Amino acid sequence: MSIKLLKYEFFNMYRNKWIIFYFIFFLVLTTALFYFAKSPAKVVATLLQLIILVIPLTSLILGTIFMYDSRNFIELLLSLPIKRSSIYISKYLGTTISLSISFALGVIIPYLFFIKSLEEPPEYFLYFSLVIAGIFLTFIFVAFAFLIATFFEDRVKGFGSSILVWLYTTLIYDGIILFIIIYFKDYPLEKPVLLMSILNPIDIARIFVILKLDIAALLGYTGAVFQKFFDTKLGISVSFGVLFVWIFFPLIVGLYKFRKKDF
Amino acid sequence: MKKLLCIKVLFLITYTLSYAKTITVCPDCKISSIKKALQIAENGDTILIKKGIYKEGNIVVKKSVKLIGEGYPVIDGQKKYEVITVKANNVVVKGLVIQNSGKSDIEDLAGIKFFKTKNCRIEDCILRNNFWGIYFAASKNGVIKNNKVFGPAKLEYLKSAFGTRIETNFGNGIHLWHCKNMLVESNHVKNHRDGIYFEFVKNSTIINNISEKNLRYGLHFMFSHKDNYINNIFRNNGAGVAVMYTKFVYMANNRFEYNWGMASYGLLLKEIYDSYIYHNVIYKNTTGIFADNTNRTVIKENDFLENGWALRIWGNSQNNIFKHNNFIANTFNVATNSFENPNTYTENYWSDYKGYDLNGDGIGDVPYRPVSLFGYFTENYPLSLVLTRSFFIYLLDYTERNFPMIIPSKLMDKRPLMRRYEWSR
Amino acid sequence: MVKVKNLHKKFGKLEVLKGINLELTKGQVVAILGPNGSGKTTLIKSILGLVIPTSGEIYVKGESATHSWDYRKYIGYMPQTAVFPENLTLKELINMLVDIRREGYNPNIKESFIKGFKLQQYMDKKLKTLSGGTKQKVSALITFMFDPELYFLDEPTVGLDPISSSFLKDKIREQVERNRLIVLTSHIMSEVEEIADYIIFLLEGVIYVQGSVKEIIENSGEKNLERAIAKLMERGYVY
Repeated sequence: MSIKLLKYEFFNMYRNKWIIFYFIFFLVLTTALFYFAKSPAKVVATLLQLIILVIPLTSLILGTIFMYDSRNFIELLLSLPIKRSSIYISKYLGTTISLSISFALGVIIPYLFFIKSLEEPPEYFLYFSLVIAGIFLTFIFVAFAFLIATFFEDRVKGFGSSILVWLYTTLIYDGIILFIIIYFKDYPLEKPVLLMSILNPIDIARIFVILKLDIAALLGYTGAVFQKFFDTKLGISVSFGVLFVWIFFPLIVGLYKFRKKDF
Repeated sequence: MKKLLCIKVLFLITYTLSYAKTITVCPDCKISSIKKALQIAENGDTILIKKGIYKEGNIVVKKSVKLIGEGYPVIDGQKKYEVITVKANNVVVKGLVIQNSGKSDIEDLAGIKFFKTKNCRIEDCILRNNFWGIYFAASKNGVIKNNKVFGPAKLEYLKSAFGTRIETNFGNGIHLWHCKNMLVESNHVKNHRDGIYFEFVKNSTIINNISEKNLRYGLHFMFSHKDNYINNIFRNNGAGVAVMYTKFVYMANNRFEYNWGMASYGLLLKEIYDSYIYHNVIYKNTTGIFADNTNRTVIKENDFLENGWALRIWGNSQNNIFKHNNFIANTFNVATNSFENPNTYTENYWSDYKGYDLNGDGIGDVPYRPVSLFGYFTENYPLSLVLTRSFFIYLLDYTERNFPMIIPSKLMDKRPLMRRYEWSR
Repeated sequence: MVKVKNLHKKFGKLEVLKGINLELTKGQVVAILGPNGSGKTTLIKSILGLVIPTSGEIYVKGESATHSWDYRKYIGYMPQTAVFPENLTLKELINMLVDIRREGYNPNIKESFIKGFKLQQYMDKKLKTLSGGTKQKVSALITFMFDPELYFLDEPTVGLDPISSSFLKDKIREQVERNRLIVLTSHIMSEVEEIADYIIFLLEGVIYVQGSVKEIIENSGEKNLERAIAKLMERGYVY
């Protein structure tokens, strides 16, 4: 049943102008980047900024829009013999997979197109860690969007909360880290800061990419704790573990809420 | 009369050439040792060494002979002796494998050492596993060309032993001390303490060499005035390249790359005067160029790519000119400890410049400030590096650039380029 | 067919259903009536599982409805305002629902509805372009085409033109003859009088009166259902 629902979710998503727009947005931007920023590292650096900024925001906003807009469809489906959780999960997968595909195609097509004409194309591995990071962020923030849209009946409250979540994870959280670093400069802070940064999914994604991109600078730092941590198997599994927790935590809470919700 | 003198000179040369003989050495020949051959040789003779392994302790060359290897004979020092010591002028060493020199805490035992020589050449040799590789002391007009100098020092020693063990356990690849008019060309040096070492070497040229994976410096350069080094690659050395206490150096077309670590630089300049740094590529180093007390030096048309800090310049460096350089995708462009700006930055390309060019002359209308607020934070709170490329940091930098309050505002490029400066390669 | 025991529902502090008990058998049209906010829609949605009851039990064909979803295969639901995924065409909607639900799908019923409602011309139109009345017809079509045993129709004739309205009423009566149970709500008393067999009158979350149409009119002493219900409501407001 879920598979069929998923099929129709995709069907519906690809008629959605947002999804097409999302694809074109990344396609045009990445193409322009490759075209104008001659240096591969510059392309990756700008894409990283774009990904950690735009993907959480659009995932949250589009996720809430889709959820509110498909309330009708959900009500229709709810009167059919279908499990509530199937509806929620297929809606979630339909949204995340479509957004991820739009994003991934949008950034990979220009890469494949320019890879031959560039003297030094961005490293394969680096570029794809960027894509993976983007996909993880999509899954995480759509889960949050769905949780928010299920929680708040009122659209205005829903969008407000989405933007708060975004501000918190992209801006405020890093501001707090910087404050702690400056304020407690006399204390050994490596481990607390490491812990704090792996608790924020955006920071994990960012650190993974800068470990490749800015390794020269990061290695200049005495402790090099981050490189040591993220380069070990433990570090990598812990960070992926945290990313998965950040997907499943909002997803499961949202699902629980959805199953108890009155329509 | 003049004509007659010319003929006399020509005659003299042909005379000596025709009377110079060739002595062949091989393990099965009548003359089976190089030492024996040296005994019977006279100035101007050629000693042809055939394929084989020669373990003869310390071979001392006191005559002006040519030592020519055929099929790369191996001269082995058995880890006890300096393999070859040259103390004569006009000696040519060519086509030999020189390996396993001894090691000493008192003496600088080398694969081959030239001491107080003139016009000596070493060419096409392979030096393996020597304490010091090619060593010239107090010599003039020497040539070191097309050699491979591979030492025993692997980079993993660096992690445990930086600063202590490597000083005594490993020597330099190509070491020149108190020399003049030397040419170091097309050599490949790796796994030594310093790849190429110059101390009190004047009027010399280092060209087309590759120096990599050395524990300390790829090129270590001190009190060596009026030298050129051109078209070399210095890659993945423990601490990069150091040029110190020197005047009038010309550094062009070199690549400084992959020098990673706390105290690691693409190029370290310390007490440098009146030098010229031109057309170099400085790629992926923790610090691209570190200028400490560097003065009246022109840094022009270089590429600084993807470094941690493209340029770290201390306040004691003055009157330098940075022009037409490309600063692309570095984590930080310029770091400094001074609030003044005693240097000139003009018409460089900065890849994160966000200004505009209304009159279309290719020069941005808004000055660029290469010292970022985040750069300032990382100087004082190194841990904040973990926030690199965070959106929060981006906003902070953006605000500071537009309303400078904290960082030295005098350091700026008033004429930043809109496009990468294309210098011909 | 449908059995509700001591059903309570609170939305926050507002108690909408305050202990509903009822049992409905097949082969009849049941009209749930009551003033606005009396809990009609909430009652229907509770039975459908769209609203989760605060307490009480619901059985459909003997299956508990509170922790299960499978029983909905017996049910066809026509909501008060027709709601569809907007980007689909009518044809795609039908095909999709058939694909998802499948059970009970009867192409003959579908054809007769398309014909009766003259929907042929809208088959390739996007649903969002359809008028309110047409959407209502589509809603009826997708409810009836699965030939369920139990119908919940929330204001089924609102927005329909007289021809379509009487077509739908005919179809409703037809289902009674086929021994189905139809539960509907309506504000048009003449219509209720015309098609309903049994009436449940809700007031402030409880069943205030229930009985056959005839009994209700007789007990009130009025000449038709509209007046009878109006009288009940007035009394309700008085108390």
